[in-house]
Amino acid sequence: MSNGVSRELTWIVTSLWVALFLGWITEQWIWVLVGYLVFYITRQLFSMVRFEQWMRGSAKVPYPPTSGLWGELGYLVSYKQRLLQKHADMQLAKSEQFLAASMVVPDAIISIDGDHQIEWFNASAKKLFKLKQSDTGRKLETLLRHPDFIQYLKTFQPRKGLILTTLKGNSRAYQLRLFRYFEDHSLLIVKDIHELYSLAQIRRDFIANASHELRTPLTVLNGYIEVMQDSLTEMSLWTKPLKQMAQQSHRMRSIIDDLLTLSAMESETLTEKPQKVRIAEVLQMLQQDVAQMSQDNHQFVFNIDTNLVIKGYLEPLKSVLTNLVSNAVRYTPDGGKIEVNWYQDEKGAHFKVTDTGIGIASEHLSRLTERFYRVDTARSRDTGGTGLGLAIVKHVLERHQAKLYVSSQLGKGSTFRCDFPKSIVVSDLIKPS
Amino acid sequence: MEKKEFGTHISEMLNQNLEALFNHILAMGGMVERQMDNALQALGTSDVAKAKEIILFDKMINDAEMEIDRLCARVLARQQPTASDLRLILVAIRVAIDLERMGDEVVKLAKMVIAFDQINQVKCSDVEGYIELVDISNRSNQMLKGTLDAFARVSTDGASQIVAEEESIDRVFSNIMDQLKRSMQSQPDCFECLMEMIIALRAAERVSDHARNIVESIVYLVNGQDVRNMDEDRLQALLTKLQAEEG
Repeated sequence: MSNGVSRELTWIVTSLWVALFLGWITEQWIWVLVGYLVFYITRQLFSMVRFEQWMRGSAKVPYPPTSGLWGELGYLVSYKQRLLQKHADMQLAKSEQFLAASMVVPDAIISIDGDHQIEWFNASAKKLFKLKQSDTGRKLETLLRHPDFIQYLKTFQPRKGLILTTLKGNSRAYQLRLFRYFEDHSLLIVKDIHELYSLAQIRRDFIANASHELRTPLTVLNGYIEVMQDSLTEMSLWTKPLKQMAQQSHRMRSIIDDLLTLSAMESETLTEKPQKVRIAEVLQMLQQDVAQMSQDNHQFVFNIDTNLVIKGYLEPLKSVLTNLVSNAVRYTPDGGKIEVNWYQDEKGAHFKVTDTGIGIASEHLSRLTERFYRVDTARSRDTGGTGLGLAIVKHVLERHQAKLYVSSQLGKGSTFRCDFPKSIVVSDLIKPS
Repeated sequence: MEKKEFGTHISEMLNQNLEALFNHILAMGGMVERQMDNALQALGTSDVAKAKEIILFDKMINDAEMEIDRLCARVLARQQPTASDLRLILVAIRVAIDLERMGDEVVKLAKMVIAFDQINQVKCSDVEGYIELVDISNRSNQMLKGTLDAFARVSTDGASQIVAEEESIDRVFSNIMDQLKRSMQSQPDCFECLMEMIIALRAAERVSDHARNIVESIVYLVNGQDVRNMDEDRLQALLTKLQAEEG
C-alpha cells in the first residue's frame, strides 16, 4: 500500500477511536458521527488549501501540511525539489568551471550572436580590447572598428583568418579567427602572433638585404673572369677552370636575381594597381625564347586564346610563364613534346604546360614550391635551375588568387596548370593589333 | 540581451535606419583609426610606400562621409525623427565632418613623410620637433580611439580625461612652436625642414582638436546640452556630474 494512503488510514483509525470514545461517553452517536464527518472534510479542505498555497510559494505558509496524505505529498514534492536543485547546482558549477577555464586562456575569446552582438568574453579579451562588462549586447564591430575586420566579419571566411598589425593602438601582430558554433553564434579568437610575425619579417628583410649585398662583389668577380678568359692564349692550363668559374658565377648571379625577385614580391604593397595583361602577347615573345633554348630539340605546340586578357601584374606573370615553360624544356629529353595552352572555361582562365619529360615522383609533388627544394639534386644543378622558379610561381599566383596544380607520372611527363579565377578575367573582344 | 538604444520605436524602419547610421559612423571611425595607425608606422620607419597608401585610402573616408550625409538626409526626409533621434542625426553629421577632417590631417602627416624622403639629405627623425610630433600623434591616436569607444557606448564615461588630454596636447604644441620659431631664426638653412615639421605638428594637434569636438558631440547626444563654448572648469564639472549620474 502507498505510504500516503497508509498514513491517512492511520490518522482516520486513531481519530475514529477518539470519536467512538466520545460517542460512548455522550451516547449521542448520530451527532458525534456527523460531527466527525464534518471535521474530517474540513480538515481535508484546509490541508488542500495549505498545500496549494505552499506550492505557490506563499510567504504565509512556509511548511506543507504535516499529517496524513497531504503531509506525505508535501514531503515527496520537497524531496524532488531538492534533487532538482542539486542537479541544477551541479550544472551551474560545471558551466562556471567552463567559463573560468575560458578566462585563463591567454588568447582573447569573444562570443557573438547572429547579429554580431557580444554575448560574453574572457579576461584576455577584456584587457586587449578594453571592454567593459556593460558591453555585452553591443555590436562587436562598433568596438572593433578596423575596416579589414569589418570586412572579415561580413564575408566570414573562417579558414583564412585575419592578421592585423595594429589593434586598439597596440602595434603588435594579431591573428583573428572566427568560428561558427551553436547554430548562428560565433566565436572570435584573437591570438598574439607578434614574435612569429616579426620573425618572418626579419627573414624577409634578411634575404632581401643579403642578396642585394652579394650582387656587387659577384659583378666584380664576373668582370675579371671575363677579362681573364679573353686575354688567355689558346690551350692554356686555365681555360677549363676559368670556363667553369664563369659558369658557376653566372649561376650564382641568377640565384641571387631570383631571390631578389621573390623578396620584392613578398614585400610589395597595395599601392601598385593591377593592370590588363595580354598573356597571348607575352607567350608569343616567350615562344621565340624557348625555341632558342631548346635548340630545335623539342616539338612545341602552342594553343593560345588571343582574346583572353586578365587583370594582374605584368612582370610577375611574365616570370610565371617563363619559369613553367623553361622548366618543361629543361626536364624534357631531346625529341620530347611540349604543349602550352592558354584557354578559358566557365571556372576562369587557365594556363597549362604539358610535357613528355622525366616526370616527378608523387612524394615530391607537395614540396615542389619550397625554396631550393630539389627532386634530384645532381640533375637539377646540371640543367642550370636556381631552385627558386616554382617558389616564385607560387607567390605570383597567390597574388592573383590563382592556384597551381601539378600532376605527373614518373618517366611519362608532367602537367603544370595555373587556374586564374573568373573575377580577374577581362572580357576583351578587341583583337590585339 | 540587446541594447535598447535603437529598439525603442514602433517603426521598425526607423530603428534599422538609425542603427545603420550609427554603425556607418563607427565604420568610418575605424577607417580613420587605421589611417592614424598607418601614419604612426610610416612616421616611425619613414615608410614612403605606407605614406602613399594613406593618401590613397583617404578617398574612402571622403566617400564614407558622403554616405553618412545621404543616410542622415534619408532618415530626416522619411521619418522626421524628434528628440534624441534628431540629436543622433545632428551629431552624426557633425562627427562625420570631424572624422573627414581628421582623415585630411593624417594625409598631411603622410605628405610630410614623403616630403622628407625627397629632401633626401635630412632624415625626418633628426629634425627638431620630431619627438614632440610622435608624442602628439600617439596621444591624438589614443584620444581618437577613446572618443570612438565612448561614442560606441553612447556614454560620456572617460570624456573628462579626453578633454584634459586635449588641453595638455595644446600646451605641448604651443611650447614646441615657440622652440621651432626660435630655431628658424637661428638656423635659416633648415627652413624647409622646419616648415614641414610645423605643418605636420599642426596636423597632429588638429586631430586631437577634432577628437575633442566629437566628445562635445557625444555630450550633446547623451545629455542634450551644447558644451561647445563652455569654459574649461565648468565643462569638467559638468562631465564629472554626468559621469556620476551614469555610474
